[in-house]
Amino acid sequence: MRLHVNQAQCMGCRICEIVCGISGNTFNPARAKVRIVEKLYKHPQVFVCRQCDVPACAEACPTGALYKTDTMVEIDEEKCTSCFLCVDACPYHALFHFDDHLLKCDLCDGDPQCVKYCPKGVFTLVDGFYKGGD
Amino acid sequence: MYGYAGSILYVDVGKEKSYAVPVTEAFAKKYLGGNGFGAKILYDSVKKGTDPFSPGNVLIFAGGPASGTLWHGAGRTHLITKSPMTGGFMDSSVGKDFAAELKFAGYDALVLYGKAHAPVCVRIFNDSVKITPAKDMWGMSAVDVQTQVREDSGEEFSCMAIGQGGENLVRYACIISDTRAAGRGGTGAVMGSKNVKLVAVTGTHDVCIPDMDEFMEFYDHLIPSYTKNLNALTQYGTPILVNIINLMGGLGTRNWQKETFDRAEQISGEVYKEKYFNWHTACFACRVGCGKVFSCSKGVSEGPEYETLYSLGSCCCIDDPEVIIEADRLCDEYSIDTISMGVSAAFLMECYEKGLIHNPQLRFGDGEALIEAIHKTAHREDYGDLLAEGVRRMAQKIGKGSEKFAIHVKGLEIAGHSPRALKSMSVGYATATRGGSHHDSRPTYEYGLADRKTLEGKAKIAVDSANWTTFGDSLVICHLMEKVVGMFLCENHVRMLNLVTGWGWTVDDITTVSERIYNLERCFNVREGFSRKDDILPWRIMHEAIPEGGSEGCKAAPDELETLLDQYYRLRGWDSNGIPTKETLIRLGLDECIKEIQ
Repeated sequence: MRLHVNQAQCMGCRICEIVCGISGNTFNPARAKVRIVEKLYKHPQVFVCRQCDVPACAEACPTGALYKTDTMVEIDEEKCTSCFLCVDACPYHALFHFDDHLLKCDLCDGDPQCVKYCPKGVFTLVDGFYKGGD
Repeated sequence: MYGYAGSILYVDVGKEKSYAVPVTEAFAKKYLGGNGFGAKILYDSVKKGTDPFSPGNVLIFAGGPASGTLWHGAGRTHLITKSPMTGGFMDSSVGKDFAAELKFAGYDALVLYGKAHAPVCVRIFNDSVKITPAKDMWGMSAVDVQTQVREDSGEEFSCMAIGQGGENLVRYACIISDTRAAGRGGTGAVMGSKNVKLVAVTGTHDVCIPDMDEFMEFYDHLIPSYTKNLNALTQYGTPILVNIINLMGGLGTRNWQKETFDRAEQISGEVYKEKYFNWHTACFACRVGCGKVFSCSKGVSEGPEYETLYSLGSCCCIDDPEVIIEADRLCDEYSIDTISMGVSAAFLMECYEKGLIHNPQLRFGDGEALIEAIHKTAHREDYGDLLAEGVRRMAQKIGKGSEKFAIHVKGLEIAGHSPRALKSMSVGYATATRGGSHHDSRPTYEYGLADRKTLEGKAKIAVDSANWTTFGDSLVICHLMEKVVGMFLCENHVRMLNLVTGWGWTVDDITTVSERIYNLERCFNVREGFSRKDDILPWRIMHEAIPEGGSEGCKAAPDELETLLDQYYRLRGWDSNGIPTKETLIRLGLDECIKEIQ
């Protein structure tokens, strides 16, 4: 499973960041696993993990903390040493960190909040790994 | 304390020092946030008679308990200062995400005071506050300087910046945040007077509320209403109003000689969408996305918005949509308020048309001349030095009866909502603490009324809608949400507040806090010498009827205005001279104002 992102629909409201960054009774987009970057007079850009078929992040990880399952790329928190080589390795700039904590889209256990709350339908949940092309 | 970061950051740009002051629960409950915090800080720190351009003025950037949450427009920021246009209280609201980032950095508000010896930038990241030289940035546009600071730092800062208009103290210079403008009242000129080029902020702190499940339940409940009630804004943005207001006969045209523009269709929202639309933009946490990026052979701009299509369009009889795109972008680059710029240019066009001046040869409908006027205003070059003063001061200088068509209230040029065609707006503009602002009292409710020509109930609409805007500006959320949650204070507003603060307040409570804040704004002005004599409309608006169109024959005649003012003052608990009474101030807990204004 992965998120398909229709970049052209994004209007930069950051609602995806806000709902993704919710933790308990707090709001904090710095915890979000999706990021919107908007250069002035340029169309906003969405950065979020694509669940690559050949994940560069996993290849870069020296401890095997990032690995493919049958449906997505996951993190083994216990193995992660917060070196963030994966963040540098991701060709789509879609991994982030908050303090020592790696932030990578986990698809919200199959019910992504960005899909639910984006007012423009930018995100859709689709089958399979990302093999390039969209 | 839920909903609040819990501190206000004070930055003395002259001494290059900063400190944070805790926000107590008592202070939060008395003044709420945003406008309310700003009004209290301004009242306490800016003494009577202070020159707005002196180091003694302050510039406040404030959010409220909603900032950083999911409520609609929860990134909006209110900028409060003593206005160089009116000499009174000013707050100007801007979209995007500055107040949210300020909250994430740990602050409910930021207060700039003093004056830097040379140009500076202020950069805030959580506890780190850096005041750095900005000499190399002086002279840059408000857009370029934001890009440079982001690229140099590698941080996606939310910024407030001025361009050349602010640097050169154009009285109606605004502050640009991203590509949005805190347009009204000269906040950018105050920032320029302090030698501050840019303020940047970002942060990583949590915003805590009492119960996320309850919050999201109400949020989910509101979502369908956005689609149902605000679809036109989503599709077209505020330019959709051009044809609607023109048809109603309330579109200020030819410096308000008329209120119908025979070429309105050419600058309508429908034409912009069809010919020039690129993409939608939205502020932080906004589901509507009323922002539109338009482009043409003359460039790209976010906007023009409706107000700009009125001021730089119909008011100046400009019917070329591409000229208005170019003019809108220029004003943003220079950080100049498009409303005051357009109305000022229209005033000078009428002076030339009537032969009161022979130079500049500014003619209604001349787009090239308008563009030149904007350049000259930003640099205070040649006749731009006059234009940069706004219509009240221009009329004082030109004389010859020109004050009769100087379209301002308390020195601030009026927005594109007719005080002749909308009775609630006539008394709304007249009493607005900011002057000619359409965000004290709101026109929205009366646009929907069949009965626009009688006075009955109109003063109450003005009071009640101003209480809503005061609350919205202190929570802080976007006024465009009024069609979703209510145009007057109601249970929806109470729920929005309680869900972020956990306070258990009622409609009476939020009405009282709104009244308190608005009265404090009024007290600031009264202390400066304002009274009933200043609650007046432009001569043309009071004495010349609309000559044609859907509101033909309407005017805000002096006797009408006097009647509405009497009613408004009674509803507010002010005396016949427009001064809050001792009883009103005691009821609202503003005892400290009694001695200074009675």
